[in-house]
Amino acid sequence: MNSDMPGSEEFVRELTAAQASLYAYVLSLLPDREAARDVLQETNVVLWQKAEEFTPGSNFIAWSYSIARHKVLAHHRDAGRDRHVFDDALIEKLADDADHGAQSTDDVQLLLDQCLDELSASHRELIRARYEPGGTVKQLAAARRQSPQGLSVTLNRIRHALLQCVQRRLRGREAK
Amino acid sequence: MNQQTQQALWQCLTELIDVGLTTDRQSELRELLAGEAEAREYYLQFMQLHARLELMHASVDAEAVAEIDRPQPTATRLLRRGGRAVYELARTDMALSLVVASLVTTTIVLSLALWVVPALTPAVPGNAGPSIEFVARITGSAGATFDPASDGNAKNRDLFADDTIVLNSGLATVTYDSGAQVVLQGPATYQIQGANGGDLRLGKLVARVDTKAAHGFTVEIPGARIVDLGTEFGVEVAENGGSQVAVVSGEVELIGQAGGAGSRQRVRLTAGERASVAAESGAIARHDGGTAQGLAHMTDWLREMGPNVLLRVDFQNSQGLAIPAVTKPGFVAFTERHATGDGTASAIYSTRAGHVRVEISGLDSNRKGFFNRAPGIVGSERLTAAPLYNDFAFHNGGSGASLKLKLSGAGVTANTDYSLTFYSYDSGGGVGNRHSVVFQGSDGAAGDAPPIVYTIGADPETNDQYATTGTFTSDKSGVLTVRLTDTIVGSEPDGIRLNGFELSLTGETGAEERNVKPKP
Repeated sequence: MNSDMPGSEEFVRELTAAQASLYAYVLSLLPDREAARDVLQETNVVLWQKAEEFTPGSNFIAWSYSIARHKVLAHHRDAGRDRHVFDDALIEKLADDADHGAQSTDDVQLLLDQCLDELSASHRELIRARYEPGGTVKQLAAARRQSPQGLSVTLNRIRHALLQCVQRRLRGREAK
Repeated sequence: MNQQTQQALWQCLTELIDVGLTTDRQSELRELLAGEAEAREYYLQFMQLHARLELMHASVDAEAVAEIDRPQPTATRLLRRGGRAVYELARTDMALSLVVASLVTTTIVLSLALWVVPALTPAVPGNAGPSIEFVARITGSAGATFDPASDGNAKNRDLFADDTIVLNSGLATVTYDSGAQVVLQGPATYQIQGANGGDLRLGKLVARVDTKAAHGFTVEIPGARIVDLGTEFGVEVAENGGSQVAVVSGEVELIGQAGGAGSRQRVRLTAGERASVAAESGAIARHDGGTAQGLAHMTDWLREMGPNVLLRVDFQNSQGLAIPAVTKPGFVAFTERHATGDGTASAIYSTRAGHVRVEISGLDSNRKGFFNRAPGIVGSERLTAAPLYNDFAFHNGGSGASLKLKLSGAGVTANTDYSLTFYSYDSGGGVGNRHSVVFQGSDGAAGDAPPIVYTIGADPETNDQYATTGTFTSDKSGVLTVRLTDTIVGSEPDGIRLNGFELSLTGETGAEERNVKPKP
């Protein structure tokens, strides 16, 4: 496929737009950052190779998820079971659930932005410091003279609050 | 998903995302997710959020995107389909870099400009939904045991506007950002409701409302609502749902929930008055005088904390000795784990005025300067005023040796007077070890406190026996430093022992020490 092909532009847009959802999907099934990034890349390659099979207007997310699921399972087999948190059966189960809930993820990013704005400056900063490249809870905890466990609890509470906020806003939209 | 599952899943997620799962937790997580669809749903949503946060904050992978042109304004239009904005991860340059990297590996040449999708910042008005700010925190506890399902389950835990505290036993103080403060006695179930109120479903509570922002503080109880009009009151909700309300000072309005808005029963109670609310009917009945039984000691404890007290620190030893580490109720622990090994130690605490960084330097670096007055360490166990005097920060120098206490952070304002009370005592060594410790503002801070003179080697019998209070003024950059210096009075100096201190705004120092224990 080349960029002159009909539909390639839309394919590119779809693929780009799907990256966050795809990464989230892969990371849920394979909760290891490095491994998830590898699998995302492999998935992108396959998607690109199969670009001609994509019909503009069809459900790109569903298609890309199915490929990502296979890539996760393949990675799981190749890397050996003992290195992973989940077994195949659970990965399938989670993937089924994730496929089922794969609607309206486009808006989540915007809602998350809005919810981050709702945080206090200090908690926004804490999230930023945690997620900036190279930011680890261990380092952050040391800098803040907190225990990593204590800090991770605080971080998770902020994440929980963000999740509640996003869901509240999603519900608000659906109500409209 | 029941509370137990929720709590377990929460624990697993906390470890999984930030610190790594232990093998035991891995199996626990597998079981939780395999067992319950709701657990999987929450897990998936949580991981999606985590992934998005990661992508949002990831930096541009310079190498991977170096070849990419910056966003073209026209690209924005391309992203609108069917009237619905598609929010790309344009800011998530990591995602782009991943895509680009994968493309590079497959040697596909592409018009790269297409890959760069500008960040959309649509002018969607923010819904003024409920805030997700923390509105309160647990600022104190005494003998407290929290239920595993409790949202707030430790001192210094921040609380959201709908968090529930399930206290099985002991006392816990919750301080709202509004300034309202409540002390709960377990067994109690209390839900934070918004920025200035709560819902007491069971147990005893004493509320103190003495800031303007906290005026109107509201406590819901079964069948009624208590609106504080600037006061201190206590309430107990029994297991049968009946309640007793007693006003210590000021005034509250008790509003029955039965009937329509126009016909609700309203009762005003002033200092010394009390009323009961019936479990079934919600009927309010006044009672003559007296405070509700069992609330007095909670009031005492609350009063101890004082409206002006910002921080109370109890120095702690954690050298793995047989004597368990104990912290005086109402105090926060500062332990040797805060020590850096070079004679300094520091910790940050949140206070109602903002965070305060406590740094202590000049410690006996040989043993990190934190000691426990255990038998064999110092030589005496005749302590009557433990736990405050049980452990101490220590400097063992000659005459003129000094310890420095430095307080800074948002909770300390520049050029401001603070009251500092120091708790200190002597070694318990031989009679004749006469020496004194003087307390002076240092490094730009002014003020002093009367010296503590140790006359004999005896243990303190009360918490204030070797205490001194003085007014100190912070420096122009908001740092309050006090130097403690050991001085010979009699035969020889004996080192400085600092057991704890209390930082207050001036005007009213913390009330006298009392060892208040939760009563059954």
